[in-house]
Amino acid sequence: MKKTNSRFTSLCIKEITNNINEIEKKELDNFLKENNNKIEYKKLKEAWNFASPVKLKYEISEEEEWNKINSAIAEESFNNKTDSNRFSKILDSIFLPKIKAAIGTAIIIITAALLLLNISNTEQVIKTINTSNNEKLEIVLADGSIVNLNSGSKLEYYENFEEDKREVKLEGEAFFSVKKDGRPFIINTKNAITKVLGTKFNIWARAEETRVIVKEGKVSLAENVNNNEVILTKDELSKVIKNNKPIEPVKIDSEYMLGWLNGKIVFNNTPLSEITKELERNYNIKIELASPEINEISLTGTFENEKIDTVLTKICLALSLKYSEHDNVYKVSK
Amino acid sequence: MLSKITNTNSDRELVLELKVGNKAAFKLLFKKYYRRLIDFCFYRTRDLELSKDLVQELFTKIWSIRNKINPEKSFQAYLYKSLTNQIINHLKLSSSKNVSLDLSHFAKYANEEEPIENRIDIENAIESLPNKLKTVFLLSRIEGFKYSEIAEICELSIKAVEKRMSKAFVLLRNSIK
Repeated sequence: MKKTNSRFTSLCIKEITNNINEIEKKELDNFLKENNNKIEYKKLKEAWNFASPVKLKYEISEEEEWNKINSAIAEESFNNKTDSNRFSKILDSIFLPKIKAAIGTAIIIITAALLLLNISNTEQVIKTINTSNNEKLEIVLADGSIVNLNSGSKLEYYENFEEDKREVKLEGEAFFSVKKDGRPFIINTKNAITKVLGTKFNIWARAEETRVIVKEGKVSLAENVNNNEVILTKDELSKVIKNNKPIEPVKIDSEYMLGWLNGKIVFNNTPLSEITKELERNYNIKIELASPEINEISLTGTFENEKIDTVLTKICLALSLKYSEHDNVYKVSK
Repeated sequence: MLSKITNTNSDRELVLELKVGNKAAFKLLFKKYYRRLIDFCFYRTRDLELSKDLVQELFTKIWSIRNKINPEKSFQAYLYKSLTNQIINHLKLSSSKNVSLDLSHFAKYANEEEPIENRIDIENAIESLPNKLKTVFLLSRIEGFKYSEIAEICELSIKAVEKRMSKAFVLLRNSIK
């Protein structure tokens, strides 16, 4: 009796709260043939109706509340509470005193400017710059930093950076010469965050991988889920694959590795699958690998101002492969 | 993409943008959920100022941990889960465990067309529900969430949600004679 009762109550509630399915509905209808059950159902329904939420009529200015949150966020960025890591602490110790001293005056000036011009600081113009295959671009950002964008890449940024940080988004490859101006410079890629103050470094971010090579200064690289971070210095390379921890930085020759800046194509133990993509972007052609087993064969070497046929001939010679061409589509096979 | 953020973007898309620090996307999420969260928090705490504080705290926290939010999971469930935890923590910390229902305070915010006095019994009954039952019940009653959604928010099985709903209902039914 007790058991049937609780089953019945549960069904009534499912019906009332709109959680019932067809089969349960039939079961409930059976129960409801009994008069006692009908009364019980009515009582439960009544309790539900009684408990309907009161319409609340308080006035809240969403905009005002948003502004509160916005300023709490700005404060939090200054304090860098979220990144209690080594690098942030270095940043803080160098720059916080200056920033804090400047805040007082800055706030007054900014507030005055906003009041006078009646502009909203949330309306930011976003710039997107794309390079096609065989195209390279040099971009000068609002803060004077320079970005060299390699072929088949995309850079997105606010035309005017925020007051407390400079932030851009990158897909593809770019070399950054970041000017020091007190604000951190942050590069978001698909799976990683790279943070610097003022340095020269290269980011390669394609598919599920972000690679950083440092030419000058210090760079922080972190994967963007758990924020596991490494610090890189001059002539070091680290990478983030998917959402794994960044690998321990390894020593490399950055001048050699960043040959693309001088029109070279550099491969350093690079798998063929990646080599072909790089060549496709550089020569605006299509390359097919005939069999999957050759994808992983890797190669080290540099090419400079060479025709695609020369490049492919050399690669094939080195790896004992052959290639053919038809309508700008190259086929590499065993 | 960054440049095409509008109201029609799904939570998943907005969360993906939020993760890379896009404030416009964050503001859209705020606008979408703010009022609902305040209402929900108010029903639970009966205190508008406290509700504003708790919801502000929630959004500030979301911004600071934006990197850790999983866009493949329900953002809505995440919001309600976090807010519920905040409320429960607050109630634990505050001296009076059960917020007593103050008629005048409640009447101040209630719609005048509603007959306040008639509601007091049921309001008191909801108020005196144990926290575990109250959360589940209000998520269903106020937010209209399905059992499966409540299960996700409260980290319970659907069966457990069903049980809690039954207990809450029976207590409420007994309180209106």
